[in-house]
Amino acid sequence: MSAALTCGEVAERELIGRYFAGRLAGEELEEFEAHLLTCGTCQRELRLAGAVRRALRAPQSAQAARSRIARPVPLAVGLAAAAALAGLLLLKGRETPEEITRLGAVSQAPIYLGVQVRGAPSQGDSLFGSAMMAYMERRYDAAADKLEAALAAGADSAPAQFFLGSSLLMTASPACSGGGVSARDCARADAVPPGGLLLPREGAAADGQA
Amino acid sequence: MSKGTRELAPGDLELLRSGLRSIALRVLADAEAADEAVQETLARALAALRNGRLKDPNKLGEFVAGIARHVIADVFRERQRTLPIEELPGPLAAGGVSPLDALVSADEVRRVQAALSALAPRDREILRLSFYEGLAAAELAARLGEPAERVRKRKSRPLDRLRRAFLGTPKPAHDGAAAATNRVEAEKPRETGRAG
Repeated sequence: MSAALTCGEVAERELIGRYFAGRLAGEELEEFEAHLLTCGTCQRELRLAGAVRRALRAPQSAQAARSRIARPVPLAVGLAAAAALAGLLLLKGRETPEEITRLGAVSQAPIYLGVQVRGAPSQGDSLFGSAMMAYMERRYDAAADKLEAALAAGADSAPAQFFLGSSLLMTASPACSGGGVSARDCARADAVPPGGLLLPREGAAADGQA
Repeated sequence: MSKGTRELAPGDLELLRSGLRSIALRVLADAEAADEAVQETLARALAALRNGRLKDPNKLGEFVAGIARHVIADVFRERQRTLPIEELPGPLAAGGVSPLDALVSADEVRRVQAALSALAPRDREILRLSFYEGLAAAELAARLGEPAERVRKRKSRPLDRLRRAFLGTPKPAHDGAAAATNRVEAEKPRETGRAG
């Protein structure tokens, strides 16, 4: 292996963007990973690249989610989503903070019976499957983490968002309906994407009525 | 301990852990599997260091990265054996989604997204080509029909803005200072976490 890389060379050769895009291989990949291991600056730049990629993808994924909304989903998911939406619409017009937090006071999580994947499963689908294994084992915290990763990786957003909301409710319900809210649980609530099922928005409710 | 080897300081260990996790996550696409690989790599690296197998302390990164490659391959093979085929991560496609995208928090993404929305569409396109398609400056230049040096500048200025948003740091008094700071940082040979 040649002399160790410097951060300047990493920037010059644009290794981080190429690493993310899977365009580094062989000795160049080994050199970069060896440098990355001991370089906090490049680790930070790697995370910045991840943030840029996700930010660039956000409007596109929101559009894709909207276009996918008409895709048929299995009956169990459809029924569960319909029940949740009905509950949210009932709360419309009297959305006081107490009533919203009462949404977290669920005692049983919606049952997951499986989501069919059409065509070759993507990476997001694999992550979704792994997340739902955790969900079925009632490890809701792990399920929420994995579902966030699945959404970030492009998993089908409707079931992933629904079960992310369900998982967060199951993990955060005692904390959010009573006292002792941990900072992490509160931050987690922010992870639900806009249009998610956790909190009703005026626009979303109006859409539901139309 | 043999000559030329040293103990890992706690700070070194944490720095290695973060980098190792990125490397493992990219290949394994699963947080639990990545954590398992990181733990095993660190354990093997420590054992190897204690046995005096690292001859040149300046090669710590290469040394541990070599161990990590073997461990990650082992974990991947083990998962192939035990997981249903449909749950295995696929190959990392160029221009596609990367497991590394999950390294950042929703809050960090929101901050960057706000800064991104203030950029010109052409600057956003350069960033997309750079971070999604992995195009280097020369390739970007060919694609956009502009000189490579100009493309490099057109990428670095918006990226500086996004970096400030990502880090949550205020805008400096003038861009020249920011550029100087970033140059110094980019030219640093190594992060301080590297011992020795």
